Amino acid sequence: MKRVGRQGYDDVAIAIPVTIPYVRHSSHGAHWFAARALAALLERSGLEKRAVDGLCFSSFTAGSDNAVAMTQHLGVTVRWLDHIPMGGVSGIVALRRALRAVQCGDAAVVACIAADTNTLGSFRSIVEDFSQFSRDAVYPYGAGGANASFALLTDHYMRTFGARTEDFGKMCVEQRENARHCPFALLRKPLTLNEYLSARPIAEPLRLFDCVMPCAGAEAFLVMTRQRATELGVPYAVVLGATECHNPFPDDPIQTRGGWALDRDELFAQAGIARHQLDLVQTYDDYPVMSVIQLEDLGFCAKGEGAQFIRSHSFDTEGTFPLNTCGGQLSAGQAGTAGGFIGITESLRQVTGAALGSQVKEARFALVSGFGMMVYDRGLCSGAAIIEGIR
Amino acid sequence: MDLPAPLNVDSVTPSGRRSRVAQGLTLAAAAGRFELQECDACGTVQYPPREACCRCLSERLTWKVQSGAGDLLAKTVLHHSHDPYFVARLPWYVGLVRLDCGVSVVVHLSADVPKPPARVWVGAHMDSGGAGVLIAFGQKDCAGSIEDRRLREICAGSRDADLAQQGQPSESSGGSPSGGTLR
Repeated sequence: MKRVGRQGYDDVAIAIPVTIPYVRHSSHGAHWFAARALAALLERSGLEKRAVDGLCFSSFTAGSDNAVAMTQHLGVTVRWLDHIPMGGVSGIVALRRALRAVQCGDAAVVACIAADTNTLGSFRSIVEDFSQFSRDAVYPYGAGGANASFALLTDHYMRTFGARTEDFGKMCVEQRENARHCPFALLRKPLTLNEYLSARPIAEPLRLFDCVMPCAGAEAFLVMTRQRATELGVPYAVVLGATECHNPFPDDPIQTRGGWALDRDELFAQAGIARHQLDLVQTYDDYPVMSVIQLEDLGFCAKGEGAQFIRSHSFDTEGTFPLNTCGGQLSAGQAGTAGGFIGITESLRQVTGAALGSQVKEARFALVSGFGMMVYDRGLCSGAAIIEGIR
Repeated sequence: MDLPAPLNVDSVTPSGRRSRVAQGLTLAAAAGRFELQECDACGTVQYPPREACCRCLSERLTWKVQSGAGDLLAKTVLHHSHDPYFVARLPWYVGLVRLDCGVSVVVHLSADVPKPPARVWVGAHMDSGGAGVLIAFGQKDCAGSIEDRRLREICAGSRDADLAQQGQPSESSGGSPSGGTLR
């Protein structure tokens, strides 16, 4: 898998982080959230709609409408179009695609949008028909959805590596602290360890606050040249390194690692910075065990030492390891594929000094990680990006 | 332990929806056998069922009998489900088993299965929705004598398997492969 010569993204900027506030359920379609996201991108960048000549779209709930249909729904004429149906890694993959499109001149301004709705009952059909494997070999066994699949991984991880419920709890409690001042987080009330531990079981060993809350919402950002961003006078960040990997360890009996374990050296080599230079990290936190696995695979600690890492760090914005600084999905909610974007928009805000909630002081470098697609028994997609804010 | 009353019509039988390629498991289960796809070209055993060998891409796949022996790697107890059938029967026990033949299978867990890590034996049984399902037991040779009441109920059609094994025609249409329930 070793590759030589990943080229940089030197002259390309990401800008205008947009979050369309989350709601638990909505009668609006995914298209409504996409339209609100594009409107916000235009309003805040000062760009005319016709200046957007590239579109990258992600959604689980737009029905049969892919990115092509979205051009007509949103009334945009584009010369570059991509549809990224990759769940929690959609944001990283959209970013990677859009960066190259702009760098190579195939598009001048790409709008990357993830939009999903959540109607009562819509979640069941997503779960049952998530994949052919899911319909054939997962749903018939209790139909527990992602909760059940991650419960199995969590059960195995805890026993194999000696992680305790309290360890995951500490992480959840401190992340929730980060959500306190985040205006779009659905769960902002402080969480105590006792509340975490005494919450009702969902899929043992997972309890209520281990499980991300499905909701409706959208996340979006723009990719353009640095020159364009400068002309527009908008704060922006550059991407120092970005990787993605799919179906990394097919022979592992059960998932204890993801593609980051294959890519991390290349990621940091491409970025040209060391881990200790990072000011904050956003993991894909649909369930605590996945955050822990990402921290291990990205090299912040060795495999199996995630629990010890949690015990020896604090994760608030003034802590020793600022993590999921808007509270992550476990506090904000998971608006479908927007869950794969939230780490990017939040990092972009942090490194440009524009946090909506708690700001990490003088944040410059951020790492964002994405994870997605439990097609059968494991999440197949992983990705990560390191960004630097330009002030 | 009393089973709760079904909530509605949807909760009477589990979903029988399967893709076409997964029907091999059901056909074998109806005959009382646990079979998985094996590649004629390279011998790879694979699961979930596919259209081609995931190792060498050969299309020559044959359903072959498996011992079902394996290791229970993980277990969960569901207190929540997206499907009315299971909602009416919570809590529900589910496990992940690594079979000796090299595939990982999500299974219904019989009550006699000890905590992981544990040796288990997986069998294929007809469920009352008309599809084959995998069940892990704590002991060998448990097919046809399901003690766990919840599993006995889900396998209301497993009688067909016993009959088929003895070479007798099936009387119930609920679990029959020709019963029109294989979608």
